[in-house]
Amino acid sequence: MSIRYKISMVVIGTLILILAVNLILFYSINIITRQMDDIYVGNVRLSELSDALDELQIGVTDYLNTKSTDSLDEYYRFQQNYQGLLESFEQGVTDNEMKLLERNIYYISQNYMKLLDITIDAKRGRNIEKYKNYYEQATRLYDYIKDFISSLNNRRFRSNTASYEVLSTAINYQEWVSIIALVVLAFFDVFLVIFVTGNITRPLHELSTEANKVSAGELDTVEVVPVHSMDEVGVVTIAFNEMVSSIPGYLERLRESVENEQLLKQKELMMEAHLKDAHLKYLQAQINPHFLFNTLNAGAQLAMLEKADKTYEYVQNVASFFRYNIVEKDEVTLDQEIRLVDTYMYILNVRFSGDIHFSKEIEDEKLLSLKLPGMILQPIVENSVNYGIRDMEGKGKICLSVYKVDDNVCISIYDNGVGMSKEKIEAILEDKPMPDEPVDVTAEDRKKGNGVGLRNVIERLKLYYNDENHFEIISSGRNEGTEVVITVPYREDGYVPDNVG
Amino acid sequence: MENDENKVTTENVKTKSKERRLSLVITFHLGVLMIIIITVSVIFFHRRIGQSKELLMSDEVKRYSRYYVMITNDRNSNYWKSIYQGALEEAIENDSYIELLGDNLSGKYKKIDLIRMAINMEPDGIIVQADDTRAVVSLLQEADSKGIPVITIQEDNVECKRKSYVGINGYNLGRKYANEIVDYVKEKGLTSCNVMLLLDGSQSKNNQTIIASAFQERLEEKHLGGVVHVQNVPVSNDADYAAEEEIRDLIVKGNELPDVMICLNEKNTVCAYQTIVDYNHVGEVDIFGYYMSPTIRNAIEKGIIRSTIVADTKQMGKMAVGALNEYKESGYVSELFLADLERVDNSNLEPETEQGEAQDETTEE
Repeated sequence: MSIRYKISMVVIGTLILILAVNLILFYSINIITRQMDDIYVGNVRLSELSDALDELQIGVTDYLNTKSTDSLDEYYRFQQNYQGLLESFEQGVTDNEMKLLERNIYYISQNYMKLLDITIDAKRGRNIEKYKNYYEQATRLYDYIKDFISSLNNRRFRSNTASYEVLSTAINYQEWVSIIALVVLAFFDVFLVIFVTGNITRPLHELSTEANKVSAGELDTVEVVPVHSMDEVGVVTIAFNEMVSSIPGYLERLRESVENEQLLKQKELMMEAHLKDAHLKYLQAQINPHFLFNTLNAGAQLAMLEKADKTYEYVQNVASFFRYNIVEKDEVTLDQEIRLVDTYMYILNVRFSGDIHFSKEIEDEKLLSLKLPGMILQPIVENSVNYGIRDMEGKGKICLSVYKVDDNVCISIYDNGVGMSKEKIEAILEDKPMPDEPVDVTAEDRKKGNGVGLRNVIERLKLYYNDENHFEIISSGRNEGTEVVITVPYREDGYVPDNVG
Repeated sequence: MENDENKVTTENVKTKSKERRLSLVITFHLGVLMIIIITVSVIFFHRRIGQSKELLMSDEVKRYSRYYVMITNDRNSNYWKSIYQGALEEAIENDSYIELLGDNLSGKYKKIDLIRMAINMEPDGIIVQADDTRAVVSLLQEADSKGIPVITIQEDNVECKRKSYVGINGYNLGRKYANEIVDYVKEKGLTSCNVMLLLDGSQSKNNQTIIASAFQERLEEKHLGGVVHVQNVPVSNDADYAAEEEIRDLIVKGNELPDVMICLNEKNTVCAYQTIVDYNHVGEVDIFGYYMSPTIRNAIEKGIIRSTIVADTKQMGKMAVGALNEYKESGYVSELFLADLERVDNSNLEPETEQGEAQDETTEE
């Protein structure tokens, strides 16, 4: 049932009720009024009869006095009128006093009119004695009839009065009954409307209360709104309940996606920051690479003119080393990285007169197409040179090997240098102060070091692969050498992790 | 906090549901009340309307095939009312209705007017207390000539061509009173007794004479002619208050108080009793009355009226109507119907009936 239907029903129902009660009351009053009219009909009829009788008597008297045709015509007219009025009178024998009086009036009147007729006949026949005698007799009957009529009138009036009193009290009661009935009806209607509209608005109220809770964010306290009927409110309530029950799921999903997005953004920012950091360090370290590069190119050309091939090759290598750094690339191939290491090692060997033995072991040339973040291998090699080999006695060796283990590619940089203690390895991996480091050295200070620090490499690998376990430092202890192994996932088409922007 | 809020909400819900239930209960009760009021009012009005209609006599009335009229000298007395009652009962039993003429009329009419009215009303029969006036006789003759049978009651007049007479035996009545006096004289051992016989002036002289002579005759038979001195006093009943005035005069202005007063109708009996009491002559004058009414019963109980002769009035009424019916049906009817007479004194006074009237069935002749 729709709300409109319900409200219409209430309004129409109460209207019909009011109408019905009023009709009943009106009908009662109408009956009484009609009954009251009836009361005096009898009296009116008797008065008419009495008047007609008077006319008749006067008519006869007139005729007897004047003997005119007009008065005779009048007489006959009066007689007809009187007879007509008499016809409605009771003529049979009953046990009702008034009806008996009517009967007697009727019969005496008939005799009276007969007497009048013979009186008039006698008058016409100029029989004075006879008509006087008849007239006397008729007058006596006239008096009787008058008395009968007045007796009947009195009796009727008495019974009418009793009847009127009964009706009058009935009307009095009716007044009160009407007032009480209407008051009760009004209250009934008010309560009916309150009850029915309450039933209509109650679900709305419940719904609004729960909706307020939802709007206030108190989702935990929201209860299932009961459905009372399948009207519009019922439909809305069902939809509301479904909505409320599904909101937590949506919120959870939304929260997750926001979190993910934030995480991604954060990573991206960090990657950028680290790369920038690395570049900055280079810029800081190498003043103006372009200038340097150009200068070095000029030097190489000079060396070529002077036919100093070694100098030319050296300067050329230095130049390509710096060029690599100038080209800003987030992602490079393993091949490019290895070539950088080659260049670097050449430069170092020139610097240190070929003291460092650098070897490469590439398991499969295909692996060289592997993509990875730039500036990864060179800092590790630099680190091996600076901390592993430089202070050692004897010939330093650095071995770079690339091989495949399962679906991963391992890039190992081994040096036979002084090695590392476990504490030191731990300190590098977890970015803690070195065991022999002064206490006031900060993480920022540590990163500075020479060029791009290991820490930077580790961080970038972590961000690039979205994983922690790509960087491993293996050292058995003092003078046992150090091996740094980078393990990255391999795919033949060149692997790029999804989460790298 | 949350718990408190929950409590408040629960309480709110409870209050609301209570309010709802309350409004439902009130609505229901008001509805029932309204239905009751309207039903009661409708029933009430129908009853009132019915009552009012009944009062207007618009309801069905009982119809009869014959209509008789009764005319008497004193229709207001219990005596005549009782006769009419008997007549009415008999009439209704035989599909007839009888009216005591004059009762329904506002004017006061003499008997001749009533008889004249009755003739013009064309009834099926007239029961009349006749007398020997010329006018009455001629009117009754006129009625007979118009085919309306006439029955005389209580008083007779053979000249009026009545079909039948219903009444009491005046001779027997006179003798009954004489017997009372004989017993009275014997009981009191009187050597002289003045008896005042109050004759009913409205009755025919003939009837009065029969009663008086029968009375005297019986006294003679009992050899009390010398002891009992009878004074016949006719008391007029025609005019209002006449009887009361005359009887008062007899007692107050009379030279000598009688020992006994014998009354031959109800009115005289009551008047004599009342005068004796009013003028403090109780014990000096003894009354022998006629008929039985509450007043007479009371007087008998007090011993002021020694005894009364009661005619069976209802029987008279029944006889009169019976005679008319018989005449209407067969064209013939017995000329004479006599009602029973009974003597009532303190010893056989029956417990008061509702109307305070005398018994219906009497015996003795």
